[in-house]
Amino acid sequence: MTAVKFIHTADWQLGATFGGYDPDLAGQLKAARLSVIDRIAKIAQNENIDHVLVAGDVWDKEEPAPQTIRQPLEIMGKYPKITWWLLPGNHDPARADRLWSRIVEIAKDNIRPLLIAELVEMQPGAYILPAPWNSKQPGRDLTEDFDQMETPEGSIRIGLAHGGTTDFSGDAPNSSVVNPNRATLSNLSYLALGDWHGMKEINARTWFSGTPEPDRFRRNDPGYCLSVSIEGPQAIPNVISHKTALYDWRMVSYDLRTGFDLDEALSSVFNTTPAHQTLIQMSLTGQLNVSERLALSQLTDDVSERAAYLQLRDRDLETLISADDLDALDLSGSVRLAAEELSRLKASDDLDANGRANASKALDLLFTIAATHEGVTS
Amino acid sequence: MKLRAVRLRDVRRFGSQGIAYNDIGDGLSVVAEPNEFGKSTIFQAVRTALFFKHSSGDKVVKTLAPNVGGGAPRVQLDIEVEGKLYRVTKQFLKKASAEVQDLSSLEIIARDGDAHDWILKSIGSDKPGEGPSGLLWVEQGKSMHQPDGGTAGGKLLSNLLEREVGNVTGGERARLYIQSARERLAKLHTSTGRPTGNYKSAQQELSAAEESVTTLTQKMGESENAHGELRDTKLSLDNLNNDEDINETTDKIERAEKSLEETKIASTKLDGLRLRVETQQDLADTEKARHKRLEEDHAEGFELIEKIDELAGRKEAAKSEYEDAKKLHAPALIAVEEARTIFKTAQETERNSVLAEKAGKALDELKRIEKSIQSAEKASAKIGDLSAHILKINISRDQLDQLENLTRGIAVKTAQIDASRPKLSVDYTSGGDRKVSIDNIPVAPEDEITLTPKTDLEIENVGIVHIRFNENANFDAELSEQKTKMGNFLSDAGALDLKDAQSLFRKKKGFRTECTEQKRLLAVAAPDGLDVLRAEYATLREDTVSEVLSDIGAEEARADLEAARETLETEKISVNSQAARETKLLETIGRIQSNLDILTGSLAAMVEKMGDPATWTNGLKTSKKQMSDGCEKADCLKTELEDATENSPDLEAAKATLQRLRQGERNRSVRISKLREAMARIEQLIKNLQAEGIGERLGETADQLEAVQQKVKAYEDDAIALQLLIKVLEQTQQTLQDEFFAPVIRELNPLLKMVIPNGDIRLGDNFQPESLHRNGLAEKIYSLSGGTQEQIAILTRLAFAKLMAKRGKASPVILDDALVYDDDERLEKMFTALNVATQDGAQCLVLTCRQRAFSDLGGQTLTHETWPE
Repeated sequence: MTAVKFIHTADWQLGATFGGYDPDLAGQLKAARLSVIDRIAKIAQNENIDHVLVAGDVWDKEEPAPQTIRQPLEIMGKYPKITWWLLPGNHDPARADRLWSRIVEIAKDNIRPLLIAELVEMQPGAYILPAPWNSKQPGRDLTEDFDQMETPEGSIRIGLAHGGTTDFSGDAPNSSVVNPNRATLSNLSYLALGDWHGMKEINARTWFSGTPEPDRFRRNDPGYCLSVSIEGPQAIPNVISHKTALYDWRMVSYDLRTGFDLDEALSSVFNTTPAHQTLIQMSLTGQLNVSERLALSQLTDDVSERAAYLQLRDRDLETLISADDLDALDLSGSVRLAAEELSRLKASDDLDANGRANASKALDLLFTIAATHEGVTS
Repeated sequence: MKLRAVRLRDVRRFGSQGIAYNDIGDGLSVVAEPNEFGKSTIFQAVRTALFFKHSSGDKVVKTLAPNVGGGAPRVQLDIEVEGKLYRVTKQFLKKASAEVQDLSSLEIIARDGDAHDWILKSIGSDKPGEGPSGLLWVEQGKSMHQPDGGTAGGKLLSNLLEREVGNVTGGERARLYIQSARERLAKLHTSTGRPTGNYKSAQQELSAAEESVTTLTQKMGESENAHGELRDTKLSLDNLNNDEDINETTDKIERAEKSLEETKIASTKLDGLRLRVETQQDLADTEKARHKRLEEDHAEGFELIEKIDELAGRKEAAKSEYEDAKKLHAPALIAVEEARTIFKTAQETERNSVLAEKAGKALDELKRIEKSIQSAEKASAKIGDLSAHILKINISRDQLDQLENLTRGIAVKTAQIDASRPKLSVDYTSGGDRKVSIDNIPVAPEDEITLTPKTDLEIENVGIVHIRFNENANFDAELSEQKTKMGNFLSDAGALDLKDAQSLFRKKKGFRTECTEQKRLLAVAAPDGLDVLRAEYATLREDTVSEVLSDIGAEEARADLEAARETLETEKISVNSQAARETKLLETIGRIQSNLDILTGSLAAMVEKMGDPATWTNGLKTSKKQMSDGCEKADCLKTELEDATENSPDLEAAKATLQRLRQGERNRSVRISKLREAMARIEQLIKNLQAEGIGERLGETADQLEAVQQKVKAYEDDAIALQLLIKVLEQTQQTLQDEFFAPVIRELNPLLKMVIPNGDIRLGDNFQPESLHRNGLAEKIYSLSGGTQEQIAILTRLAFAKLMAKRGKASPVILDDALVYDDDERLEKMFTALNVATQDGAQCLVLTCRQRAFSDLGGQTLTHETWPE
C-alpha cells in the first residue's frame, strides 16, 4: 500500500521587512525567517521525510532583493535529499516574467516551483494537486480545479493551496476563499493550506500549518511546521506539529484597576522563550491613580529592558486623578489650579478627542515633573 | 491659623525644665529676651514642629538635640484653627511621637503620621523645604538678605511679594515646574518653535523616508508598467508570429501572383483587339476624308466652269470700252501745246518787271552807304592822330604817384636836415661886411646858412674856421639818392618837374577821351568795319550799272503768269486723265485674261484628275458608299472591345493587391523586429529593477516611514502637551498673582506711608513693583538702603498677613530679631505700623534681644515660664 510522509509549511514570507524596529532587531528577525528553512530541513531529516510542501507566500513580495531570492534557494539546495515543493500565494503570485521566472532559472533540481494548476507526482502513488496563485486577485476558489485532476485509482491525492477558508471570518479575502470541504469534494487525502499564520486544523484532512517564524503580533498559534503521514488514500492523516520559531511574539493584555497586582502579572509576561528573543505587545486598559501609574512605568521599563521589543498600548489606560492626588501635588496655589484645569480639560466636551488626550498627557507630565522634583528634594 | 502657646523641652539650651510662652494674643506679641537666650531656638523649634515629621532624621531635626542631658527634644504648640484650639505635641529623635489634641474635647484626634498630615492641612502648608504658607517668617538676618538676594531693580520687591504670594499660591513650585517643562520643551523645540534634537532628527528621518517611499513607489510603478509593456509586447509578437495568419498571408500572396499572371494574359489579348479597333477606325477615317475631299473637288470643278464663263464676258466688254477711249486722245494733246506757249510768254514778261523794280531800290542804298563811308573815314583819321599824341606822352598814373611820393620824401628829408643842422648868420660890424665866406662865397648879413657836417668858414684876415660835427643819419646821401631817383623819373616822363609831369598826364587823359568818342562814331558809321562797308558799296554799284526796261508792272505780270499756268495745268490733267483711262482699261483686260488663264488651267487639271465632268456625280456616289462600309466595320470592332474590356480582370488592381500583400509581409517583419528590440529593452529594464529588490525595499521603507511617523507624532504630542502645561501653569500663576498681588499692594501702601511718609509703591506691568515714590521723587527699589529694603520686606509680610486675616485665614508673622538696621525714628514708625497691622486681625510675634529699643513697641509682652516634665 502506498504511504507518504511530508512536511507541511507555509507563509515563510521571505523578505518581510521590519523597518519599524531597531535596525539590529530587524536584522535578527530577518535572519530568523531565513534560518527557519534550516530548522524545517532538520526536522525533515530527523523525521526521515523527503518532501517539504510550502503552501504559498514563500516570498513576501514580488520584487524582493536579489539576495532574498538567492539565499533561501541556496539553503534549500543544501539538502538535496529533500524536495521542496513551492506554491505561489497571494504575496508572490506566479505572474509572467516576475519572481518565479527567476526562481525557475536559478533553482536546483530539488526545488520544484508549482506554477501551474497541473497534477504532479510527488512519489509513486502520491500526487500533489497544486492551486497556485497567478495574480493578486484570482477572484475564485482555485481549489475548484482539483476536481478536474484525475489520478490513478488508489493514489494519494494531496491538495496544496493558499487562502483562507470560510471558517475564518474577516481574515481571508472573500473572493478566493477555499471551500473547507474541499478535501471531501475533491477526494483529497490531505489539503495543505497556507495564508493564515497560525496553525489550525479545519478538519481531519485539512490543516493550516501557519508560519514557521512569525513576523508580527497575532492572536493565533504561529511558529510551527507540520509533519504529515498518510498511510493510504482513505487513511486519516497523522499530523504532528513541530516548533520552529526562534522568536516569540507575545501579546498580553491587562485590565488595570486600583489594587490590580501588576507586579505579579508581569512576572508571567515571559514564557519559555528567552526574554531577549521575546517581542511583547502589551495592551493596558483600566484606570490607575497617579502613584500606580508611576509604579507601572517602572515595571514596564524593566520589561522593556529585558525583552527584544516592547510595544506598549496604553492609550486606553486612564490615569485617575483623585482629590488625594491633587492634594499630594499641592493643596492650593497655581500648581494645584493648573492640575484642576487640566483635569477639567481632559474631561471637557468642548474639546475633541485629541484636545482631551493632550490635556491628559499634559496632566501626566505635571505629575511626572512634580515627582521628579520630589525625588530631588526629598 | 493662630499661634496661642509655644512650649519646648530638651531643645538645645532649654533643658528638662523647658520653656513656655502661653496665652499668645491675637495681635502683636513681643518676646524680648537678651542675647543667647535662645529666641532663634524657639523660632526653629516652632518651624520644625510644624513641618518635620516626628520621625525625621533630617539634620534640621538633629540640631534640636539638647545641649545637656540625653532627653528627646519635645515641642508643643497650641494653635487655633477656624476658631478651635488644638494642641500639637511632637517628640523628636528618641521615642519620636506626634499627636494632636482637640483642647475643647481633650480628645487626641491624630497621632504620628496622621498628626503630621493634620498639621500640614490645617496650616495650609505643603512642603517644609519651600517654607510654610500658614506662617510668614522673617528669620534672623534673612529679612535683609532676602531683598538683597534679588536679581535687580524692581524685581527685589516683586520677588519678595511673589515669594510670599507664592508661598500661599505655590508660585515658587509653579516656576520650578514651568522651568522644568520648558527645559523638556527646549529639547524638542528651539526658541523660535523649530524642532530640535531628537524631534528634528525624527523629522529629518521622516522627510528622508517619505522621499524614499516616493522614489520606490515610482519605481514600483515603473516596474508594473514595464511588466505590462512586456506582456503587451509579447502578445503583439505572438499575434504577429501566428502560424495561421502567416499561412493565410502566404496563400493570399500566391493567389495574388497567379491572378496577376492571368490578368496579364487577358490584358495582352485586349491590347490586340484594341489595335484592330484603332486600325479599322483609321481606315474608316481615311475613307471619310477621301469622300469629303471628293465632295469638295466636285463642288470646286463646277464653280470653275461658272467663273470661266463669267470672265470671258467681262473681257469682251473691256475691249469695247478701250477702243472708245482711244478716239478722244489726239485733240487733247493739241490743246496742251497751245496752253504751254501762252505760259512761256507770260513767264518772260513777269521776269522783266521784277528786275526793273529791284534796280530802283539799289540806287538809294548806294547813296546811304557812300555817306557812311565818309563819316567813318573821318573818324578813323582822328583816331590815328589822337593815338599818336597819347603815345608821345610817356607818363602813367603809377609813375605820377611815385613822383609825387619822391617829391614829398625830398621835402621831408630837406626839412629834417634843416631842422637838425646848426644855422649860421653873421652880424657884421662896420667894416667887416662880407668878410666871412664859406666855400669862397661871402655870407651876407641877412643870410642864414645851414651848416653841413664839414664846413670851412673863412674869415677874411683871420683864417679858416673848420666846423665839424657828426650826424646820426646820413641825410645828404639819402637826399641825394632821392633826388637822383626824382631826376630819373622826370627824365623818363619827359617832364621838367612835378607840375610839368602832372600837366602832361592831364593832356594824355584828354586825348584818350577824345579817341574813345571817335571810335564810337566809327562804330556807328561802319559797324562791321570800313572795309566791309566799302565792299558792300562796290557790290551795289555793280547791281545798279545795267538798265532794265518793262511795259507793265511786276504785279500785273505775275497775275498773267498765274492764269497761263492754270490753263496749262488744266489741259495737262485732261490729257493725262485720258491716258490713264486707256491704261486702266488695258490693265483690266490683261487681268481678266490672266484669271481666265489660271481658271482654265485649274479646270484642265481637275479634268485630268477627275475625268470628264459628266462622270463626276457617279464617282461621288460610289465614294460615299465605301465610306459608310468602313465606319460600320469600325463600330462593330469597338463594341467588341468594350465587351472584352468590361469582362477583363483589372491588371492595376491585381498588381496593387500583390504589392499590398507583400508590403504587409514586410511590415510584419519590421514590426516583429521592432517588438523584439522593445522586448529586449524592457526585459533589461525589469532585470535592473529586480536587481534593486524594490518591492522589499519599499516594504522596509514603508515600515520605517510608519515608525518614524509615530515617533514624530509622539514628539509632536509631547511638545503640544508641554506647551499646554506651560500655558496652563502660567495662566493659573497669573490668575493667582492677579488675585493676590493687587490686594497685597493695597494693604502695603498705607503701612508704608506710616514708615515712609508720602511713600508709595508703584507697580509696573503685571503688578511688578518698579519704584518707591516719595516727595515727588521716584526711587528704584534696588537703590534703597538696606534698612528701607528690610522695612519694605517686613511691611509686605504684615500686609499679607493683614489680607489673609481679612479673608479669615490668619497667617502669623514671626519676626526673629528683625529691624536691626533701623534708626530710632524709623523703628518707632515700624512699631506703629506693626500695631496698625495687628489691630486688623493679623497676628505678629516679635522675637527681639533689644529690650530697651523695643520697649515702646506696644502689644503684649510675653513672659516665659518653665515647662518641666
